[in-house]
Amino acid sequence: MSTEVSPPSGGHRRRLEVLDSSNFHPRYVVWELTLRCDHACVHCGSRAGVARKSELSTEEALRVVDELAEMGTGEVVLIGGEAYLHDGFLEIARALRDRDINPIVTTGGRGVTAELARSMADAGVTRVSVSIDGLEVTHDAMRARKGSWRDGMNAIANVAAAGLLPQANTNFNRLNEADLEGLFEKLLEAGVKSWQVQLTAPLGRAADRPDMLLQPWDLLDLMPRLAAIKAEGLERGFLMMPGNNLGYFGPEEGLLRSQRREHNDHWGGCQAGRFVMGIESDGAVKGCPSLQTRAYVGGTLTDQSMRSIWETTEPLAFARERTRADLWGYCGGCVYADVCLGGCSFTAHAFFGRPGNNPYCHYRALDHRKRGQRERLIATDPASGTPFDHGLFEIVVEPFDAPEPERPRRDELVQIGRPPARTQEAKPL
Amino acid sequence: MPKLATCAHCESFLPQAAPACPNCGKTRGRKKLPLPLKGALAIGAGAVLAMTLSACYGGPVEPYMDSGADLVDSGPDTDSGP
Repeated sequence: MSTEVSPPSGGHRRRLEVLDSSNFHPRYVVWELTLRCDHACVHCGSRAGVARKSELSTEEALRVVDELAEMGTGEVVLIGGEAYLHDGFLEIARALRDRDINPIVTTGGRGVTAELARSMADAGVTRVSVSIDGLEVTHDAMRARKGSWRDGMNAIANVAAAGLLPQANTNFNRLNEADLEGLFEKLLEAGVKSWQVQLTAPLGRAADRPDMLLQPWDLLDLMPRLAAIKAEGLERGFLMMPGNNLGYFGPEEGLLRSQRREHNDHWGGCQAGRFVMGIESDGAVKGCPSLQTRAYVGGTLTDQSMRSIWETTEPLAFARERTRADLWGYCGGCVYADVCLGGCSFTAHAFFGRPGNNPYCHYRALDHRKRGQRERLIATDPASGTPFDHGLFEIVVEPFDAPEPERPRRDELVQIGRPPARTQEAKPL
Repeated sequence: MPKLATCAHCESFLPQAAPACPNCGKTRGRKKLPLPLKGALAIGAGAVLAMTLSACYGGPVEPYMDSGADLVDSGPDTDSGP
């Protein structure tokens, strides 16, 4: 059987046999070249903006390319911050291409001029995914910069003109979920061919803004809307695919998770450290680019070989032998537990400080509604204020028709609602 | 771990051990037939039963017995979840 495996940050995806395979290797890698960024997005999981203290030089990065080739990597998504702000961006992309590794780029698009798009094509980049987080007003609010949306759409045009495949990716939350259908039409008009959608999880700066996050019952409205767009997109030559933290096992699972209707694929468990690997800009290696740094980094490439980190460190192996016995809370007793294995690990960890119980689940929300209930997520502890950090939440089960506080206005949603505890040590796993 | 089968009624995926679809509650593996076909099957089964009874006992029986209700099981219309 196969399932969709792709980096949560918006890269291209492939159909990969995973349920019957134990040939674990970093087939898909997401590589943060630098944490420098020309945006300061309110939902950024890595709190990007300023470079890390000791980022890999171009020379060191080229050695990493050799290690990736030796490990059997087939595709690398270059991200940041903004990957193009690393001095060796094009050289690294070309080196990947020369080693038969497909270089993909995910970007906010601000600096993707026609010239840079052509240079990326010359370097061997095949696809560029531009982050578009809503219609213009919403997107600019989330990205904290007027003109960001127009820059992103121009980037899509420049990418297409350079002969690269234009893609888009979007994080959905309470700020932008109403833009879903309108954004679909805009992306179609812009010539985008595929679109990755996922949920904003309380990671990094999003952890400071809990009011911005969807509540679990919001999936009851969102998932059928996504399925309708998926079906219409397939008719119009446009592929919408869910990111790894969007699911699971609702009535629309087969449609949403498949590249073609006849595939009828379904979620097959977290692929972190199985076929997916993330590299932070200082060489820290973890099983998925969105996993929390403190809990999931197995080692650093300046100190240890990639093979050694991949094959011998526990943080890279946590998802390889996972069973339903590792799940807890609702997920531990779910009828889909053996296959789902608790959904997305970084998302569950972002809420509760450990994986195995994921409140962002369509089936779970449906099951609660059958019993006249819903789950509310309430922020309790702040995040530490570092890249890929998280706070803590608790779940309250309440009647499905319980009154909800008035929703904050758009400008209030992007304000910091729970300041990071910058003097407080992040809680260990 | 093999790929999950799908529900014949709502196309949701079926956990291996679940006796009914967790999403629509229908009994696993039996597809609901359209009403006209279900009615035709019922009439046919009734006619066969009538002819059998007539042959065994040699007497007239009711011309129509709707004994087909159990021939097609559409499953209980109940919710089922973990």
